[in-house]
Amino acid sequence: MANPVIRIWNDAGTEVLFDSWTDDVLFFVEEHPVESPNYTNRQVVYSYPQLAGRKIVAFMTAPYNYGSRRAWALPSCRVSYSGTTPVVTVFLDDERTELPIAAGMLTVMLSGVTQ
Amino acid sequence: MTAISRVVNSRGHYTIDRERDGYGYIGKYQLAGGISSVTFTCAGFPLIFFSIPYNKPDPGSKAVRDAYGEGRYGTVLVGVKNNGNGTWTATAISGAGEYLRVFGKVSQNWPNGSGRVPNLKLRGDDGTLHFDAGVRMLKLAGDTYDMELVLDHRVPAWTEPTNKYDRSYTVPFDLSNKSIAAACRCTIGMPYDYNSYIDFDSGQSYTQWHMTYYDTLYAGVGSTLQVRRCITESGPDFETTGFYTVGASTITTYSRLAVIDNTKYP
Repeated sequence: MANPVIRIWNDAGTEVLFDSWTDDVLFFVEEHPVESPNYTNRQVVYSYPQLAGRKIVAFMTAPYNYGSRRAWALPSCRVSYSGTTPVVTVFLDDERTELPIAAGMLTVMLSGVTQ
Repeated sequence: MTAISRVVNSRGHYTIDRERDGYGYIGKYQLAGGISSVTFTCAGFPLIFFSIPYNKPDPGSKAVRDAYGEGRYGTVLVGVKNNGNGTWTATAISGAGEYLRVFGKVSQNWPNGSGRVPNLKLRGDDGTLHFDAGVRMLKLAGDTYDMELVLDHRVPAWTEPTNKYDRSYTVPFDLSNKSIAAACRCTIGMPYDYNSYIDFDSGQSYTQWHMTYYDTLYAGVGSTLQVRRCITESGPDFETTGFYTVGASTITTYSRLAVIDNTKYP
């Protein structure tokens, strides 16, 4: 049996803008400005029990512009699964005491795929 | 009556979720090259993809003189700054002619929909718009969302090739005409002794310092994503307050990879 598919073309009918059967879409879950005055090897953990069993994606964006930062702050994140619960661990490292804040924007997305 | 709440694709991946925001394509912004910035409007925090050069030669020459990708090719987003009033400035290191492609949340950027009629729109129970077929919705070029990049923090020594700590990752498709979202390793800066001299008026000796910035560049070679070191350099810096050292233990950077097809976002 054919699967039901939502497929949306452009006006000219020359391009499929959206295909619910083949597209891989990411959905917004939440975002956090992450900031820490403890610049040495600090970790912040976010847990998503409401998304148990599903895969998530996390992006970390540095809020600095080149030249305005010395960029000793190194925000970074990993995705893992504690049992079936998705977990994001944010790492904030800043080895310079002169810049006592490590910061970034964490964006968490849902892929919807089962783990 | 129950409205459509969720549509799932052939790989079990949600493609429509009535309760969650999708991201829509706001536009692309061309980079001048070197270290350059673009300013754009987006309601809420933007998700930014940068185009990567494809099959560009990479001499990988020796350390320090490779300013701004001269000798190394690649692109990276190094910062996103909120200017207020819904405008943002994104800064990237790139060759000339690369693009940033910006996506924003549908609910915030198209609260009343794209305006195209007829159209498919999905609203949550509270009426918030989460999907609009008149907007080019963010979708990935394959399932790279599962790929974690582990970016080495080490920097090459003076005499070592710039590419010594490069990394590469194989993705399940060709990287021609693609843009990616991936973290910058951030810039690691280190000073080095540029020149020492004696000021004859004061009789004191001074040291001039340069600051070197070790940056990350991404490039595509076939289906291999290369993560390259790029070294940019400041002018002489007279005032330094001791040595800035980068410890060996802490600052590995982890990043999720996401790839989009540029042709879907003209």
